[in-house]
Amino acid sequence: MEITAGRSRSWAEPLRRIDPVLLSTAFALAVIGLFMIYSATHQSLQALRLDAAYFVKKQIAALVVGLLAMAFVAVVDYRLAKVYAPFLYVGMLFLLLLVRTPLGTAAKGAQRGFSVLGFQLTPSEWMKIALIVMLAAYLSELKERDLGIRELLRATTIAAVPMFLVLIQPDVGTTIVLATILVGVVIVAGTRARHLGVLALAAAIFLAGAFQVGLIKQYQIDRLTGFLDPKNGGQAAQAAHYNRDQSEIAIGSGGLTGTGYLKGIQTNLDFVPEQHTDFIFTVVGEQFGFVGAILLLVLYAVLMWRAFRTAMMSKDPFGTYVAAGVAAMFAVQMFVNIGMTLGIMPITGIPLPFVSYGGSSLIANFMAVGLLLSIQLRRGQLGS
Amino acid sequence: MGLRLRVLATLCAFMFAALGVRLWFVQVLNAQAAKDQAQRNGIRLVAVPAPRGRILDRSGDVLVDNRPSLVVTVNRQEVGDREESVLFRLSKVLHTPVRDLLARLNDPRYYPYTPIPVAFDVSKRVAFYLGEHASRFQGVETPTLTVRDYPDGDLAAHVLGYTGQISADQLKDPRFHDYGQQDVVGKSGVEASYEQFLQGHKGEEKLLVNSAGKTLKAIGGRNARPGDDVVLSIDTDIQKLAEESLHLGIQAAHADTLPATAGAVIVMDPNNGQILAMASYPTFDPAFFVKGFTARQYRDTFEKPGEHQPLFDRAIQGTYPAGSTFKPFVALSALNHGIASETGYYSCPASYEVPGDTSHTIFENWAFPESFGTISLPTALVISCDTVFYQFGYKFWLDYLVGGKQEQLLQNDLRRFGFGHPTGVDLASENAGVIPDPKWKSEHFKPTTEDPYADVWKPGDLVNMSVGQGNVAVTPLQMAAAYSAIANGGKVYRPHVGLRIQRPDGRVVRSIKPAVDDHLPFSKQQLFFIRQSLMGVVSDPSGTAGFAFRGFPFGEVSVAGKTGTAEVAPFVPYSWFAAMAPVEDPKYVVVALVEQGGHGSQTAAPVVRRILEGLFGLPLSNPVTGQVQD
Repeated sequence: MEITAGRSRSWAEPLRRIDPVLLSTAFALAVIGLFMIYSATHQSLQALRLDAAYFVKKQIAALVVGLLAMAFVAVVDYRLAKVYAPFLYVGMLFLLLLVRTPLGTAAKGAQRGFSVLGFQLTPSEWMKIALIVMLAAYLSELKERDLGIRELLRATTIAAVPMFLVLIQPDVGTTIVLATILVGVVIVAGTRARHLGVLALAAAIFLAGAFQVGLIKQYQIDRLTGFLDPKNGGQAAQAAHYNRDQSEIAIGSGGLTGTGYLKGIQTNLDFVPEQHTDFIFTVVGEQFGFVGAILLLVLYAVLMWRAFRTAMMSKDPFGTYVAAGVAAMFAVQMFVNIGMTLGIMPITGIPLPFVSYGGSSLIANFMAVGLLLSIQLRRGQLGS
Repeated sequence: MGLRLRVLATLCAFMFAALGVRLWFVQVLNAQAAKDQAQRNGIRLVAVPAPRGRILDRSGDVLVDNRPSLVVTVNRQEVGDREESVLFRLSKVLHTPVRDLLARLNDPRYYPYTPIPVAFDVSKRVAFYLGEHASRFQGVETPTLTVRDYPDGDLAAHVLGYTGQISADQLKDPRFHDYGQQDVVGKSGVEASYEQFLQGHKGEEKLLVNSAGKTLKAIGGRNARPGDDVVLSIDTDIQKLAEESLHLGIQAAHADTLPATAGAVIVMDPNNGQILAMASYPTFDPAFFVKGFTARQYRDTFEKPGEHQPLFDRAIQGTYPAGSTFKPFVALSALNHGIASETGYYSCPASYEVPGDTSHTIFENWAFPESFGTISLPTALVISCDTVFYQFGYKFWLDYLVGGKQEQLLQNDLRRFGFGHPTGVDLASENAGVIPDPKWKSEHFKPTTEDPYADVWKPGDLVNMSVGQGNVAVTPLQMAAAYSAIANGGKVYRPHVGLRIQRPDGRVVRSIKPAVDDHLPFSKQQLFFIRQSLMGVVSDPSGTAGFAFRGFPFGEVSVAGKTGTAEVAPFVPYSWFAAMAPVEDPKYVVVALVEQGGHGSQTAAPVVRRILEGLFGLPLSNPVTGQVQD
């Protein structure tokens, strides 16, 4: 392997290959996130006589860590990740198991993370990255260009283990993201459409079985299906219905140009729940209106575009698969999150990439950007 | 590789398209509904109550004030299915039976599912305890409400009236269109008739609230405008004098074994219609309505047999036969229509029979079987000779026949005094009384087998009317207004208790000017003649009130008056007395009525005498039941 080949070249040369569009887009989203988090939380914090910028400061700390992590991942050759992928993958699985022990902390009925030095660490966020790398490593090692059913099942198994662990936390949202990463990567790796169909069928059967044995709880079903028929359904569906209504009212009341920063009735007065995390898009929608919301979508589109571009320019399948996995991850998170606030997607706990409050998610997202940068930096080094 | 990436990229593009379309729908097409909803969510309007205006007497003494009261309210909607246990605990804290609390909550005067007051004037300790144990008293609150305060207790209770929560019927009334379900309104008396001034205008506070309902800040609104004060023509001292005198007179009647169940007294300024005092007995404590009550408490207080309906204002709502107090009016009408003359003499036999009456109905004089021979009109008034007036009544009957049964000479004159229709006093629920005529009789009587002509106008109707009996019904206030017109030389003033409306700072908003509703169709001379004649009633030893006014210093204060003994079968007669003083230029007209007080000379005349003594600063006499002299 020529992983040390870069050292012979000028130190500064790879810097010229850094993608400024990708970098500034991700950074811009994170900064927008800081402003949105402030708007969403300052009033409640003041009411509690706390520092109005409490959440913002924590998010800035996570942003600094995220940027450092990104730089580290970008500098290190991504092909090293291929080597260490199994260790990363197993390590994350271990952490996912560890949150189920008393070491893990529970929040809002789910056991998802650890409390370290006042920061809430959520391994399932990093599991996404680990899964992308693991799947890309496995699929890129296959000799045949065409993916068979056996290979697909192996890839599915790789994804299914963490999906299961995340599902029982319970965290349906992240489970969906992991599943989407699997689908995204295997599509790019060349699976056949009918094989994907078989996979979907198996998933459906599994989910039905999981519900039967009580692995999936009724409220999760209610929440997932509540958006289809909001008038009926159980208590969780009603609550979800309320959340969705308030969220839609918030976004709708923004109109074309919004109410102005910090002037949202719905968002600044706490009518929208979880508005600094899962429902952060309502702040954008209410305070900056249709124009602001579309601009945010454009930023995500640019992010997608740079990810796909990275996949195209990667000189090895591993890089392509990683970039495709990252693109799938960002896309599904953005779509399900914003769709949920607009009432066209079920309500699940998926953060809006770069914008939602949450350190682990922000760091994982910047690490994903770091992977893309690393792939871009080394696109010309595969000639030998 | 490129193709497969394109598949994935296309899927992403679909996601963006879906979100964009949905955003357009939510934020552009449907924005207005969402904006309205957001406004409703975040802005709360809170009504700021306006202090109700006070009621003052003519010299500025406060008759009705406001005071804060700690109240315990229960909101059934919030109590929910824990009602039993909450009420049980509340009953222990308030020392009130659960049954009473339930009765309060079931009070139809309140809307269900609003905070209903179950206890007023609770101690701070109780309020603090309830606040401390809020979790065990779900739906229970202890707000401070502003309630009515009556510094003089039940003084002038009927005039002042009382307040209460607005009723469902009132809420439907367009006059109350801007009232809320929780609003307090005047229910009777001045509280009701001057409601529009007393109420004031509620303020409104616009609050920014968060999802938990917590107020973040006030964002404007408008201030409450306190209600205006109403200044009454009532004089607290005269009111006290009148009530005390009526009470003493009734006590004296009781001592004389007369039932004297109820009464009314009015002191009026005949020169402008101002009511200086007006009382009805038995009375009530308006503070009863402040504290809230159960239906049972209400029945026990106001509807117990023997209580004689204390809420009923006899001065303006009670209608009675006028009895002989009617004679001055009949005499004036007789003078006016040539039936009697100032110099004429009339026979006063022991009884009277309508000429040609085949039923031979005997109309007796009150002094039956005594006869007084032939007497002048003044004497007929002084000794209250019924048979003289029976003859006048018959003459009016003849006029009726001559006039083709169209003439109502007597009734028309009586109506111009203000009888038979409301006086228009500024108080609610005034009664019109009755001056009967052929039409009225045909409407109110049906022929029976015993009396196939029961509905027909007959001479006896006018004979009875000439002494204020038959179907004549008048209120004490009508009586006072009519005597005032005689006293002031013929102006029929509309009686009123309101003097002016003023802002809390004393700035006058509106003055209530004297209103002359009519001028009597009699000459000054005729009215003077009657006033002079009525002096003998009190000052002449043979006058019907001569005994009652024995020893009265007429040299200092001249008095003219008239007794009345209204026959209300099967009861003991109702006692009337009407007076004016000083006769040369009357400053006061005083009217008293005592139900089942016996003859006018017995109970009502001593009451009026004592009031006159008080009005002119004379030593007060103790009402002693007078001799029967009428």
